[in-house]
Amino acid sequence: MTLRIAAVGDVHLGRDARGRLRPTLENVHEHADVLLLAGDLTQRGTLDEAQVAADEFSDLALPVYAVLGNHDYHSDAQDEIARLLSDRGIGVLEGRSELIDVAGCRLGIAGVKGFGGGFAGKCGSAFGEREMKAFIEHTELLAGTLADALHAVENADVLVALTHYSPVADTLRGEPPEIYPFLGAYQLAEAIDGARNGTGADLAVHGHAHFGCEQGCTPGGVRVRNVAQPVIRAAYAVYHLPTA
Amino acid sequence: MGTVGSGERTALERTLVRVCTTLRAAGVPYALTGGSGVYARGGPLSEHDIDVLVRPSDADEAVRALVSAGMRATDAPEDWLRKVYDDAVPVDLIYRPAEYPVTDDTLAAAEELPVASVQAPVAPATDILADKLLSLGPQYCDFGWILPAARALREQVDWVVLRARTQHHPYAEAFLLLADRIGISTPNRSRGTSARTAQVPQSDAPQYLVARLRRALTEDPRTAEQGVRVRVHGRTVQLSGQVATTQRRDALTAVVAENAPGLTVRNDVRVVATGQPDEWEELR
Repeated sequence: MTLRIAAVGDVHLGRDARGRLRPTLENVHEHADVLLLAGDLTQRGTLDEAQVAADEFSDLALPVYAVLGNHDYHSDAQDEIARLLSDRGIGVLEGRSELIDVAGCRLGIAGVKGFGGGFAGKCGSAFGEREMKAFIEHTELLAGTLADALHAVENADVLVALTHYSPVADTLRGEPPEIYPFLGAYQLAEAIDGARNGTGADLAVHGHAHFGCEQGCTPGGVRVRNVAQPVIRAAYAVYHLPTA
Repeated sequence: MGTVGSGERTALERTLVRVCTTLRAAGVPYALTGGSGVYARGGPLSEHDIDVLVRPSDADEAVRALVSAGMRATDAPEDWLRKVYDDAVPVDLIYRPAEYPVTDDTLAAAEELPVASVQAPVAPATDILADKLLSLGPQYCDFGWILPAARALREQVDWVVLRARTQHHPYAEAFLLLADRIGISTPNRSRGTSARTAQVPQSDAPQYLVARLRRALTEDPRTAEQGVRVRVHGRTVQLSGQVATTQRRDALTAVVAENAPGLTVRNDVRVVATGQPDEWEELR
């Protein structure tokens, strides 16, 4: 048996982009069993942009789950945006998980926006100025909620982690290495690898790195896919996972 | 056009109060704009009529209500407003200012402000100026009224939004250049950004140009783009990457041109592909 996961991130919708994705999305259920949105649904994080995103992604013939991205936080309206999307039937996973029965298996999806900080050996530490500590503490807090959210659904047949920021440097190839610490954090990968008592999740999906590449892997061997729309160059990417 | 004299001011204020109380009593949603909007927002009373925004579907009802209150309807030849007179004072009921019809959203943006002896909904300062600038043209390009209005309302105007709404309109661009050069407007940047950068003197050194342009593309609300690559080759700025729409690709050029005057902008940014994927990946 096969579970088909469609995913896209960084669609950056706004009033000028209304209807851009909908025609292709109308038959996404013919190609996938679930659709994951990896953050940056909007450009400036406003409610009217979130409305456009809700119109694009709601009422599709498959379950849709999302995390928010940094653009969705830009106008300090992230809570209202999350509520608006939830009201339209899009599951927003801001540090929580869902277990659903789909394609004859139990799929667990744990999501969080994530944050920067960098990757092992080349990363920030919670040390020195208050601002620097706040930066890294935010990363660690969100990575911690991802670990908890994965733990809550670890009896799933297929376990997927959904973030906006990247858990690994692999999928950032193409971006300038100097900005890697703003694109992701190794603590997210630690949470993903730590799931199921260290066996790891089955797949990690993220966005945020427009100039990165699609394929990567965590230190623990979990497949990572960067589904930022400029990377996948399509309405969504589709991954088939064995369920047995 | 100068400021009106005290006799005319009394007549204009009287009409303003009558229009506001009559429309409110009749349940017609409206907002003051033009000269009366500027006046309500603390500017000079310098036009000789009262401008009111109403929805197209309410225009007839608004005329009926004002006529019942003793005003006189006239047949305005324009297809974007209705006109009534209160004695000699013209009242323009505008339902399509500057190409777009008045909607619920337009009126919802209005703010209740005290004007003369009443409270009235008043259009945002940015909307009032945008409509005025977009009405400029070869037959009417008089800045004499707009200049004191813009000066009086400068802190209430969102100059970034005003620039975005009037871009591609040469008369508006000319006015905004004037406003920039004599120091009325906030050039190019949003208020938040200019407050932050004011603490650090901005360097014109070419080695900082890329940094300045990248920040502008991210922080300017017209673009809010982080995913665009900026390279400077001599006198040319080259942009690459992908954005969601053609409008946003074009906005990149505008923001870079403002922040790098005199340089040529090569905008190689593409609009992101959103077609159905050709294949799937098997993860075994």
